[in-house]
Amino acid sequence: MRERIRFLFSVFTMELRRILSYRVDFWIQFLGSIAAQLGVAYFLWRAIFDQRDIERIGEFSFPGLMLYYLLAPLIGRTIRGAEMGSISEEIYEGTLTRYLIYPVSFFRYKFASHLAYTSLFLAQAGAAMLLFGIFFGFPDDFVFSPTSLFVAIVSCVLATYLYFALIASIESVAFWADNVWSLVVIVRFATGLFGGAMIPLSLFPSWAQELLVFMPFAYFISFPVRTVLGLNAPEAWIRGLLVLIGWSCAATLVLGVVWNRGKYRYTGVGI
Amino acid sequence: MMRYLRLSAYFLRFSFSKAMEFRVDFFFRIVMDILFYGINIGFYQIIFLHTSVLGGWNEQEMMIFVAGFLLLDALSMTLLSNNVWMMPIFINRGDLDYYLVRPVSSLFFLSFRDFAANSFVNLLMASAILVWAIAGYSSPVTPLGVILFVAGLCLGFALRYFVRILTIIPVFWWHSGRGLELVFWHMTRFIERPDGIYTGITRVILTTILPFALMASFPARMLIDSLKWESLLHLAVVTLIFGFATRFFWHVGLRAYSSASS
Repeated sequence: MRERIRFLFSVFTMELRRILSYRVDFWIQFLGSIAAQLGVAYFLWRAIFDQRDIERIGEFSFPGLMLYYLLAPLIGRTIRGAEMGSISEEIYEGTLTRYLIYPVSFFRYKFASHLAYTSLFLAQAGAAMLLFGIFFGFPDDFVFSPTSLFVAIVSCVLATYLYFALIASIESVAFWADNVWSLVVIVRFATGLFGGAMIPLSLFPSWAQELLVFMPFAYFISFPVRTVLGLNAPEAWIRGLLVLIGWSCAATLVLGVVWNRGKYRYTGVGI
Repeated sequence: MMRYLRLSAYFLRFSFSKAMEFRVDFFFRIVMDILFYGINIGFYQIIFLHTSVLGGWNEQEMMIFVAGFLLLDALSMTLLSNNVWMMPIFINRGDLDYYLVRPVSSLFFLSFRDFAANSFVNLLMASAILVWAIAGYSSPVTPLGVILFVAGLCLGFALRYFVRILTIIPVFWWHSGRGLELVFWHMTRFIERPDGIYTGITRVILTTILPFALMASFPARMLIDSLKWESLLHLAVVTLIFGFATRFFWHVGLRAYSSASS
């Protein structure tokens, strides 16, 4: 057991070193995504606030909305981690075979390397939020508390696992299909709108909000961001965590079925 | 010219037969693009629940702009995406040798050799969205407006292509194009919002040095606004400048290219 944990920890640190060895790309990705997302959101919402000459839209003031748009891509990236490609490529190229001699299962190995990305992105999100607070101050719309921060971290951990299981299930389709990256992009597009990255879910029509609460996408961005900002009530925490656990169980089940059927099609020499 | 057209016809035939070999992927990519179109239309419909005008345009006008940038995206995905994706790899691996010895422009061959047949279906869908957006537009649409809009979209496509190639050319010296590629993809978000929302120095930059706000917004202005000729002239001048810059820097880059495993 201790040997396995030590092995997984070395996978985690090795992946961290690998990510940080491409520092320029890493920081361009970090700063570029924040600048583009915040820049576009700033001009879009400034135009709407000025056009209507109002102080608030829904539950957000303008500075509050900017803080939301700062956190949404960062939390989204934290949960998405390495995102895609590694599992389907291993199947497609036949390199899955090398995991037979590893002392841990394939998915534990992959999840440990996924966590390396997640922990780095989480640190970036925390630093960005702190810098926002230092330079601009936190808007009055939000009530920060240690409890909401704790629930947000728990929801991030659960959502990270759910996203990993969902993407692993989809990438396992590579046992049957030649190229599955477009399926992963479909999930990413859906998360962009229905997860609340493009626009906060509270600005959707009410019928859509009621529906999206039970879909997994909201838990990849909107739910943890709203929880950090103190916009979710304790009842919403409990319901959200229960929905997350439910989807995580379902995704694990699907992954098990797809993987167990798919592995019998694997030839070991690439497809 | 005839040689280039004949070459393009061969590219088209090879690409369709290749796409038909991977039918599941062909279907997945069509679904992916349909979702992308639906999400962008849905995004603006939600925005217009909270305002009646955005960047000077109402919802009907915004749908024409959205259809324009979806068409621009479909054109880029169909004609360029597969090719441009491989360009930095060819430069780094030294595979450019095979293209430099051919009796056609190396940039043309590298940029248009692989036609994305699956995205071609989406090009038809994006065109249908444009027809739907124009049909729902209550103001009169003149034939001149439509001609200028199509000309503007062609210029916008050319400009997007030139900017994208300019982000690849540094690979000749840097050997990694990932950073600039990421910058380009982040900046494409500015294409997807109307230029009317940008103000001050940001607007100046986004319509000249980093002309992302020109690519889809200005063609839409030619159909919607009264200042058609000014918009066309602005777009044409910027596209020409970027075209010359691309050609110049490509040749400079080729001089720095040191062939295999450079």
